[in-house]
Amino acid sequence: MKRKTWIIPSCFLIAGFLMIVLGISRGEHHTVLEKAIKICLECIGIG
Amino acid sequence: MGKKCVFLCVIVMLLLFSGCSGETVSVEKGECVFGPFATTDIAGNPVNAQIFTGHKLTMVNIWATFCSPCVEEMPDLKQLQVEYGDAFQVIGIVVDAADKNGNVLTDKKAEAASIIETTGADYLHLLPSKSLSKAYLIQVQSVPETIFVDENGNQIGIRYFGAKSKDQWKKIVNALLESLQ
Amino acid sequence: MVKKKKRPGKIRLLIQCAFGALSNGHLIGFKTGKIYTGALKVLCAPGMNCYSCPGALGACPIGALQAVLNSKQYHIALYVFGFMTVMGTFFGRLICGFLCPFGLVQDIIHKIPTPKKVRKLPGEVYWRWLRFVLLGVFVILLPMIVHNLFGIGDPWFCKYICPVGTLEAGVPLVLLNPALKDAIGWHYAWKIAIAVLILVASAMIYRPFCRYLCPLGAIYGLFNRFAIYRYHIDTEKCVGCGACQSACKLEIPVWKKPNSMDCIRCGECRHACPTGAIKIK
Repeated sequence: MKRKTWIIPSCFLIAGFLMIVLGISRGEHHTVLEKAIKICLECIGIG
Repeated sequence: MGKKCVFLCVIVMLLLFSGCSGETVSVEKGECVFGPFATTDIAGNPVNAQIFTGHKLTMVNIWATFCSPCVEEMPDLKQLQVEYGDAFQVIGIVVDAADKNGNVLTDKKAEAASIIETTGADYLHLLPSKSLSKAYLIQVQSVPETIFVDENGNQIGIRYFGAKSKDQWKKIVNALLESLQ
Repeated sequence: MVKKKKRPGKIRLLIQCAFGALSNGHLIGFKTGKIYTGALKVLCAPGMNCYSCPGALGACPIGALQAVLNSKQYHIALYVFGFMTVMGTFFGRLICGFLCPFGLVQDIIHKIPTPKKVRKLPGEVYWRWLRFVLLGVFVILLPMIVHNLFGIGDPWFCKYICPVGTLEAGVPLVLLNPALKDAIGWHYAWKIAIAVLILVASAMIYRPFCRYLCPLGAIYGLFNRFAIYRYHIDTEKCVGCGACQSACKLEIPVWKKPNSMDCIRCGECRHACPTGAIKIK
C-alpha cells in the first residue's frame, strides 16, 4: 500500500525534470531571462 | 531555531545583492550621451557619433524584437521622420540583436530585419556594441525607451519610457524643436 | 515526552518573512528604482513574485509562462511547466502557505481588525473556479493564441489583472522613477484599482487572491493530492468533531478532504485537532 503512493509523485518528478531539460535544450530559459531582466512596462500599466 | 533562520537569510541576502551593485554609465555631462561610441548598423556598416550631425534633432528609439509595444509604434516613428524632414531623424537601437559585448545574435538580428521590413520603419537601426552598452545601454531597464539628442549627441529632454501615439510624439518633438531655436 | 507546541502560525510567519526577504533580496533596487538583471533570474521563484519588482532576484513563474507562450518561437512552455511540476510534486500548495510573498501580504492585512470578518462569499463554490478560468484563459490561451502581425502576443494576466505586479513593481517603480510618473494613464489606474480591491478585501476575507484568482495556486492545488508533502487523516484517531473545519480559514472540511485543492497548508487544522489525527506524510 505504501509503495503505491510513491508511483504518482515519482512519475510527476521525472516528467517535470524531463520538461525542464527539454525546455532548456529548446532555449526557453533564454526567453525567461530576457523578459525577466527588463521592466515589463505593460505589466505595470505603462507601455 | 527561528533566530538562526533569520541570521542565515541575512547572510545569504548580503552575499546575493553585494554581487549586483548597479553598474553606472561612464559619460561626462556635456559630452555626447552615448560617449565616443562605435558600433554597426543592422546592415553591418560601421557607425559612430557622426550620425547625429546634419540633423537638428535625433530621436533615438531603443527597442527589442520581443517587445510588442515597441514594434507596434515603429510605423508611427517612420511617419514622424517623413513628416518632419531633414531637420529631424529617427534612429533605432535593437537591444536584443547583440549582447553587451557586441557579439551579434544572428537569429535575433534576422528577426529585427524582418520586423523593420514589415513595419516599414526603414530608418537607421544600430546594434549594441561594447562601447554603446557601457556608455548607455546598461542602464536601459525597459523597452521601448526613447531619448532625443542634438547634432553633437547631447541629450535634449528626458528619457521617455513606453510607447506613445503619433500625436503624443508630435507634441514632444514640436516642443523640443522649439527649445532648440 | 513533552511536546513543545509553538503556535504554527508564528513559525509559518517567520518562514514567510524570511523567504519573502530572500526572494526580494536585491535591496539596492528599492533605493535606485532599478531591477536586478543578473543570471539568477533564469530561475523562477516558487510563489507569485513579479520580476519587475526592484527587489526580485528570480522570475515570476506565471510571468515567465506567459513570456514563453506569447513569444514568436515557442508555442508550449516546457521549462516553466516543468519547474511548476517539480515544485508542485514536492510541495503542492505548501508554497502558497509558506513561500509566497503575496500570500504573506494578505495574511498580514487579514490581521487588521475589521468590524466583520467574512468566512465565505455567496456562491463561494463557483467563485473558487474563477482561478482556473484565469489560468486557462489569461495565462495560457490568450498569450498563446492572440499574436500581432509580428508573431508576438501579450502577457494578458500580467497586463490586465495581476495585483502582485502592481504592488511589488508598479507602485515602487513609479515612486522611485520620476520619469515613469509621466507615462502613467488609465491602464495604471485600472491595475491600481484591482490591487486596492484585493488588498482591502484581504482584511475582511482570508486570502481572497489565493482562493479566487491565483493561477499559480490553481496549478499547485492540483498537486495537493499527489504531492510529497501532504496530509493524511488517521481514521483511528479522528472523532469527526469538525474542529479542523472550524479552524480552517478556507472553510475546508479537512477531516473529509485533507488534500483539497484550496488548502494552502497553513497547519491551523492540525493545531486545532484534539486527537492529533491530521498527519503530514
